[in-house]
Amino acid sequence: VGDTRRVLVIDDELGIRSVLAEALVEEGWEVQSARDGREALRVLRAWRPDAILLDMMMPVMDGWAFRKAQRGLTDGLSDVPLIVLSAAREVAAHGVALGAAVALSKPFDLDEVFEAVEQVLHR
Amino acid sequence: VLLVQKCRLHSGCGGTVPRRESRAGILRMVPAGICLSRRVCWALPGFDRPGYGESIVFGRRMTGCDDMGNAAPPGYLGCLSALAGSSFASSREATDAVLRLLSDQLGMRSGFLTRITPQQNGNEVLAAYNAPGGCDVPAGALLPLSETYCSVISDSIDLAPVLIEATHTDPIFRIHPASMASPHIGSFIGVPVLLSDGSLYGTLCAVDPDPRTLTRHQSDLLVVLARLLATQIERDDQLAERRRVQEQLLLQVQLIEQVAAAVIVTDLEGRVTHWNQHAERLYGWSREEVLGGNIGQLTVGPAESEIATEIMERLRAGQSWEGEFLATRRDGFTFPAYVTDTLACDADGHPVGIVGVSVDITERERLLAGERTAREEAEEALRVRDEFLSIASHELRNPVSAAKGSAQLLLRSLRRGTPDPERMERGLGAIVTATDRLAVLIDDLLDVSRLRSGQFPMRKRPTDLAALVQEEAETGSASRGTHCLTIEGIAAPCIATVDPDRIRQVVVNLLDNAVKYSPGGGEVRVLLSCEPEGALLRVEDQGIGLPHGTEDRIFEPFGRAANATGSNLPGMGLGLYISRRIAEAHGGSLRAESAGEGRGTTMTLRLPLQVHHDEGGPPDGHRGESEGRLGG
Repeated sequence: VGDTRRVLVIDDELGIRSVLAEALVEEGWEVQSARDGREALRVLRAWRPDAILLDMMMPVMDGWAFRKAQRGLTDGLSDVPLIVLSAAREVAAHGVALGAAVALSKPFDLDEVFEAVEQVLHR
Repeated sequence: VLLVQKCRLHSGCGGTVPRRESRAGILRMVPAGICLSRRVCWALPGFDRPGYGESIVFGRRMTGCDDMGNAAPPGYLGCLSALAGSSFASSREATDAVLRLLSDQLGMRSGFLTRITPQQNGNEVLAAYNAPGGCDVPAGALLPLSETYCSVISDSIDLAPVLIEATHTDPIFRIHPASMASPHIGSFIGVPVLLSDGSLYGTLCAVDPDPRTLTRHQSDLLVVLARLLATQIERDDQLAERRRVQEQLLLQVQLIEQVAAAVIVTDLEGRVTHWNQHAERLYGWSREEVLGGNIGQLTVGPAESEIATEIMERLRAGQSWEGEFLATRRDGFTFPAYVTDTLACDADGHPVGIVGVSVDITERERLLAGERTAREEAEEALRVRDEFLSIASHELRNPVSAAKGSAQLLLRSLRRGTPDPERMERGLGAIVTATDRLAVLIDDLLDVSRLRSGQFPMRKRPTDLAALVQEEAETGSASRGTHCLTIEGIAAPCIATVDPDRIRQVVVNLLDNAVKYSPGGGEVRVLLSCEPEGALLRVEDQGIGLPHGTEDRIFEPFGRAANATGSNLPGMGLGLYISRRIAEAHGGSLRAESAGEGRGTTMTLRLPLQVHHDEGGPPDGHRGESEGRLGG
């Protein structure tokens, strides 16, 4: 893995994916993004992130389904810490239910996101 | 010549009796069993009933009392038997006759029948006869028992008769409280009135202001009369009790007949013995038809025979059964009934029959079902609203997040002093896109909200649909050169009475969708045809099509086909919902067809040319313009 820390961004909203990717890259992280859970699982086959930013409501495969699939992954991929990003009002409860390290509600502050990612990586 | 003298008649007799008539004549003329004049009594053949006491012996023929003298024993016994055989209008009248006879025969001026209630120290005068110079105690008087000589009777162990020939000189009784209370009573004779169970009812007594000496016959007479009265009293009580029972029975029968429930009584084998009016109405069988018939065959349909067997088993086990039951009418129709079956038992507790009460609960079931449906509908409406709010909130937060994130990124780079123009443009462009989306979303949400609450005004007026379609096709997104656009059928005007703004909204939505969902380009074909039965607008594209079975899903709020969301094509899924409701508000329709995924989509809008008043416009639409509201 080396020194470069990796973040996987999963969100169906193109605008949010690009903002997060751009901001995180600017902070020095390596970023991959996926527009739903299924695409994210494809990314995980070849690329192991240190943190996952996960949206909840997505077409094809939503946050819940992705988390379930992630738990079944091997090679430590099931333990990659999650940061839940959700527009739902019950975001905190969703975060707990998913076993996420942090749960952030949309619209979020970029500083909150950076802080959450830092916290997860330095654990 | 008959000498006719007006006689004083006793005890309900009335009329005249020949004074000197042969006995045979009198026998012929006097009604049976009547006691005649003051001293002359006649008894008639046939009054030979035994049973009035040991001292009374009846012959087949009784001789009368002599004309002048004291009543000879056979005479007053004859009188007695005459009295016993008389029919009086009431027992009160009989009692009065007895008291008068008593007074006459004993030569005492007052006679009383009293009722004793020892616990209350009461002695009530039930009936009184007071000859002139008598004691003048009226019927109805309530005397303290201890202050009457009757208490001597009730206090004695064997309830013996009491005779006091001279109260004021009698060594025992002159100090009796009654002698103090009633100084004007000179003599007293009283006997107990005993009921058949031996209990003391009261007394029959005679008093006189003067001392009297009584013969054995006279006191015997009193004993006999007391027994006579006791019999009368018991018979009265029995009659009253029987009348009370009969009245109660009648009331219960009326109740059972009039109660708003079918009351059916059967024997233990289920043969009907009673069938009330409501049962006739409820089951359609008349009482005459069902009496003796088997209840199972009359009211139980084949589907319920099992439960009917269960009911009978429960009843045989001595238990009752209560519950809902699908009862069958005479005409074969069934209805839900609430049934209570209980065992009817005789006085010894042995079951003799089954009482079934059934009530038709069709109406209650209907109300309950209606209530259930209404509750389910309300819950569903609430669920749909919650889901709608949840999705709307999500849809609003996403573009806000994108805009905010882009703005924060730009701020950061500005603060670092490295404003890269290309990056600035990208960020600001993202903000504009996000806010445009927000604006559209807010409009759509407002439309949906108005559609749902029924506050969606329609301002219909004659509109040229051909011009409207052409204008939108030529200036909208379909004209931007990415797609090959063909328009047909707009050469001639197509006038329809519609709300032009709303219909424009629909046309724009259809054209935008055609372009949006054919990202690979291709032909967008717009075809308008104007027929008398209505206008028809078809918009065909060669885009991603619709997965099989989603042709209706895309018209639901936030309903988008999986291939639309999967291809990351933007959209909230409200446009087609709104468009279809607008079409419907015009009395038209909007449908989608597709041969399948990747095989293009055809949207078909149908609109009537004329306003249909029952579609929402007022019946008297003014100058071709009408305003309607869309029901939610």
